[in-house]
Amino acid sequence: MPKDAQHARETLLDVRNLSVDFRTPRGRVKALRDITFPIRRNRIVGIVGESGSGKSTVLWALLGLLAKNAEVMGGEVRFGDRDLLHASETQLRATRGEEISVVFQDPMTSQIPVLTYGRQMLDILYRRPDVSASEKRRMAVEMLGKVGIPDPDKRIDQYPHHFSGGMRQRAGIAMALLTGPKLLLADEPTTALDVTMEAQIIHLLQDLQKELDATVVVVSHNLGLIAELCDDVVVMYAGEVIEAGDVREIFHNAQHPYTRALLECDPARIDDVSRKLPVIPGDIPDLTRALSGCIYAPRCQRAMPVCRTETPPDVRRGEMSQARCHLLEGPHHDPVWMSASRLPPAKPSG
Amino acid sequence: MLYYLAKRLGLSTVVVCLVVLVLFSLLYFIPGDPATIALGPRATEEAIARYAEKMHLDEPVWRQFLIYIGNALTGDLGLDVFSDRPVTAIIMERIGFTLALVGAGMGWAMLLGIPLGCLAAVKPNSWIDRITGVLSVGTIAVPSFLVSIWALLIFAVHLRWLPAIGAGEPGQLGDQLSHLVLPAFAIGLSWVGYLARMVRASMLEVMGENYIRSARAFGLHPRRVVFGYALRVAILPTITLIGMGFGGMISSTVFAEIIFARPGIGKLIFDSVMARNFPIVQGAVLVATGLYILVVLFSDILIAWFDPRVRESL
Amino acid sequence: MSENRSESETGVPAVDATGLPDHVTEAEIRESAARERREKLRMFLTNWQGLTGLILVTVFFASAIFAPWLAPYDPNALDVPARLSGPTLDHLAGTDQLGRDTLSRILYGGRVALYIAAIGVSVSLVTGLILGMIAGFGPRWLDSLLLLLFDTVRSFPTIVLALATVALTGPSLTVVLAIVIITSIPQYARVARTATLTLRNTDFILAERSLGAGMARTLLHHVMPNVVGPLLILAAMEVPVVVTVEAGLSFLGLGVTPPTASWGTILNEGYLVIRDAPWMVIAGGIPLILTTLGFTFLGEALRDIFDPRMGKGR
Repeated sequence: MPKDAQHARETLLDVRNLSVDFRTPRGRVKALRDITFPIRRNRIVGIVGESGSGKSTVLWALLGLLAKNAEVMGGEVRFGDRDLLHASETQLRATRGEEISVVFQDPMTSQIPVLTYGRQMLDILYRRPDVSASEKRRMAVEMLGKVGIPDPDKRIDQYPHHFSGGMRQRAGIAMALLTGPKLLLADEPTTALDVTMEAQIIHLLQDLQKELDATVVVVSHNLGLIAELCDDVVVMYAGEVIEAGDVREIFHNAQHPYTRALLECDPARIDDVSRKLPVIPGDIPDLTRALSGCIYAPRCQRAMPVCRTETPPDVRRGEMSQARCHLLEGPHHDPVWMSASRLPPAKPSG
Repeated sequence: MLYYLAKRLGLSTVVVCLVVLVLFSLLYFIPGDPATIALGPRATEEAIARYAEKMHLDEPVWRQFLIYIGNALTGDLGLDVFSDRPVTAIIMERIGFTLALVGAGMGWAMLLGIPLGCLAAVKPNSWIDRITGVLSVGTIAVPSFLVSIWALLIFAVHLRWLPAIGAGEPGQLGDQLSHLVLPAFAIGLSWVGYLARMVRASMLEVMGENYIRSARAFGLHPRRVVFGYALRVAILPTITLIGMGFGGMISSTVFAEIIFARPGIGKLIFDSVMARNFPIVQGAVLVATGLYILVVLFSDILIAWFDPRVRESL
Repeated sequence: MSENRSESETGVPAVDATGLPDHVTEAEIRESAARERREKLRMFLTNWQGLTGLILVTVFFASAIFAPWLAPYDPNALDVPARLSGPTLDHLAGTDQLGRDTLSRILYGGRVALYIAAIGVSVSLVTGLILGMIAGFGPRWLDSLLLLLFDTVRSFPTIVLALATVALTGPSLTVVLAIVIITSIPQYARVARTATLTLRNTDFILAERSLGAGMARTLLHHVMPNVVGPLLILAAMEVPVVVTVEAGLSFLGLGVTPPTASWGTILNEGYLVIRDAPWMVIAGGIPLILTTLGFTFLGEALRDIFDPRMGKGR
């Protein structure tokens, strides 16, 4: 099995058949259903989807930090030789912040206001008893400098409210990278920032990923950001991975009707003449109901009768690409659809 | 910071002055000779004359007030009507007993109430949360002076585990501590529930904050997350509450001192009221007020110390 | 942000909560209001705290009102041969050192508590309401001044104030009442002020004011109905405070004067004979505890059901 071995070597983290339910007063919400995708080593992977598609839930599931009313219904998350879904709390704690780290969405609320950055960073390094406090501080100062904070040796003793939004997010990145994690998760890292900051943060992440040889997962609904930053993309819709693969392949030749519709809605590609924002008609389905067939069928322009009754297969194409649609395989295979690539190449918006 | 402290101190001074003013004016609202009222019917002619002179009763009220304030600032609170000893000296003898009692009562209440509130917040709806909830309502509703009386009845009179009255032999720490147990228990009990409930409420709020999730995501130990992060923020409203509720603490201390015959400030005020020894009442009330203001001030400073945002906005 | 949070915490995309149809008839509104009332009643009837509270409060009112018919003896009838008798069939709660029946005295003591609670709570509620509305609707400086006053009075050691006053006036029920009223006004005033402030800038008040409605009219017709509910809940929670202050001061011999029976005087007389007749402080304390618990339970249950937000402020 040389191929499997290669796959294992290339893959840092492997999500397989992950399903998560939420218990709510309205009943069980099937928030994630049968999620499968690999995260390849030294790549930047984007998870993209509308709000409510479950992209953040995936991220918290990887960390074992789902909300209390969440229940993992099945699947596994392979990370090295461990399964993070079934790891003990102690094992998870050793992984979090040390091997897998997070950059949070809103730096204004995700950093504790009453502790200095120095204190917070020292706390993150608590698992290293052999390193002296002054050495830890030196590491923290160095990391703050690396993310572009001027006068890091002075700023380290300041509190979050002394920092501007962009600076806070830089500090957030510094905290996340402090331990030299193998995997960096970024949860909508630029949503809370203005546009100029956004570009800076994206370039910073790109540079640091190269410099530190890290693997990065970026969760975002911003297609421009994904196109500019990522190597691989995972497209999510209503709790399912609908398509995944190389960023250029997907942006140039999306396989799934939803991905194509999503790309058409990207404000960055809309021509100024019509001045009309295209939308995908319909709403995200109610996930408390029992689901049959393709999750996207009610909104899909290419929906066929089979789409409402049978769950489409995950169609693999090459090493990493996959898409979940009846058009791609089996009796409803449509070769014209597959080769069609009506969309112009993505223009990065950052 | 300095400006803030000055403002608070200025405000506190105003409050103290108001209290003294109220005490003074009460003396004049009541018909009759102020000296006789102040000293009571049992006072001798001589004492009345001396008091009139000492208090400058021939002067206008506002001057008397200023003179009293001026003297008080130099530590002179007048003379005891009966023994002629300086009021300041008498108060200094007694204040230690009160401070020890307040400290012990508040101390055990905090040591028990704050962790209970944290535990209840970390595991909402668990058995510890339910017990804490019932305990809180129960202890808050029970009047502290009744706790004193019943504690005296059960542990001192009936079971004879602990001494009933007094503050213990001077110089014998063990004896003094054993005399401290019951009153401290009585005044702290309702605070256990009060604190547990307050800490629980604000912890529940803070535990839902994004930065707590961040701390977890960085793999910090749960103990560090709860006590180093969440409690550090959640303690702020609790400190304000302790400062605000300190007046109630003084009230229950007065009761505890009377019931357990503990020679503190509260007992001193009560005895002086009964004996109509007005200079002592006045002085002791002033000191009690000052104590209360100091605690409120201290709680403000503590908040500033805990919260950099407050510290810098000062 | 908020979107994401609701997603990660409940797994449900945010739903429009104000899902009212466009055309709602008045009948439908009345219908839904009635449904809501039934729902709240059901919540109350299934809340063990609320029910226990209601029962205890009812017993308190009934026993106080019907004391003359319920009491087996005249509360002041002396029976010296039977003095300090323990609980017997003749005297269910024993007798005091003058041979008076403790149970009868407790029943009559309840009347004093009810009297103080009724007057104290109603006067301070009305005064607090008026002051709070003035603070909320008045100019800023007045608001700050009143707020400072409320805070100071609320947290001031009540008992010290009471002792100082009684030192001059002598024991009296009126003084107790006055102190109870002064110290609880700020509670009501704060609630009224907050409610007024929130209403002050709502559109319909602004519209009304711009149409030339006078301040008094606006306050009377719009603010009052909105604050009365929370104030009544607060009143239920304040009854224990009032009853406790009365009992406490009477216990110290500063409130109700003998031979009038009050829970405080019974406890005082019992305290003096605590070694020989422990049943007196037990019997005297039980109604006090049951009453404070009852009102607290009732108030908290009502608050949880009708005004869940209010819980934080206290």
